[in-house]
Amino acid sequence: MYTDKIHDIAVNTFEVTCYMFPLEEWELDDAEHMTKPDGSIRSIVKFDGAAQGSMVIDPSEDLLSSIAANMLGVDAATEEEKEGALCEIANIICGNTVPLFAKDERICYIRPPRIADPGEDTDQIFKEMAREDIEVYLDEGIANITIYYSSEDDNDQGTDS
Amino acid sequence: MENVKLTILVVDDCSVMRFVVQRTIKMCGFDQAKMIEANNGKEALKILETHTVDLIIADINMPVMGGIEMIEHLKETSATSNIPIITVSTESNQPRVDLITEMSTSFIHKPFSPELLRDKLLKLLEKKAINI
Repeated sequence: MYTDKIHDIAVNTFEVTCYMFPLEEWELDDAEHMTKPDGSIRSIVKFDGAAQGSMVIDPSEDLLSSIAANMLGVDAATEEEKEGALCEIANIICGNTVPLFAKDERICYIRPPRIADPGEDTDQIFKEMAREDIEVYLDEGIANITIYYSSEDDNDQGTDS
Repeated sequence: MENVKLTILVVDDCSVMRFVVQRTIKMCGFDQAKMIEANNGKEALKILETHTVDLIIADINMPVMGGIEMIEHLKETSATSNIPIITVSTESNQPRVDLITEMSTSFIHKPFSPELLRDKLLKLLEKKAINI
């Protein structure tokens, strides 16, 4: 329902913040050779208020390294820097996405992002919630983004999107 | 104008973002600027007890003490009530954006380009909102 909008928000965030660009349709065949996200380092951002849920971003190893390197302007970032950079990207994407799920400009609160525990099964934890899954193919790697959500009025969910 | 010597307090719980803001400021020509960092609003208030700054660039969503609470404290004290503040946030809820804009001197929505931050800084200097 919101897939295209969330994809656009994510692409814009990567472009403006990390100087990365989405692959064109004709480039997607080459993406088969790119490293896929494996869930080893994920950032999770909780939100509540007019809509509740969490957003999880799972970047490929290549993308994670490039996010930090591009944001910091260094060749190779430390693990701590990679995690910090990923959390900031997650914060920006989530902050811009969550208003989609809140009706009538009611307020949502974004909680500070964190790195998910290795065994944290977010699909299981948030199984009762609606979800949106987005794959973002960029020139420097791939990111999977999942948003689990429910709004204050689930019956009206998305009708004005 | 960019060569003016500013002291800027950058308040953000993300060290990467503090670095990005500082790098952006330097890239925009304010390479003489002296930067001070704080992790959150509480830390910023502590720093301001002993330091004088020309400008504060602050995130809104921070643990311990967020940007809005920090600004409320700054406005209560005569020594800090007139320091210009650029708030940086992902906030998109218009009433909240209006509130933040009203409380601060300028508001920047994340993600932001280096040019946008530069324009905001130049505008504050032109308006002499920054006393240097």
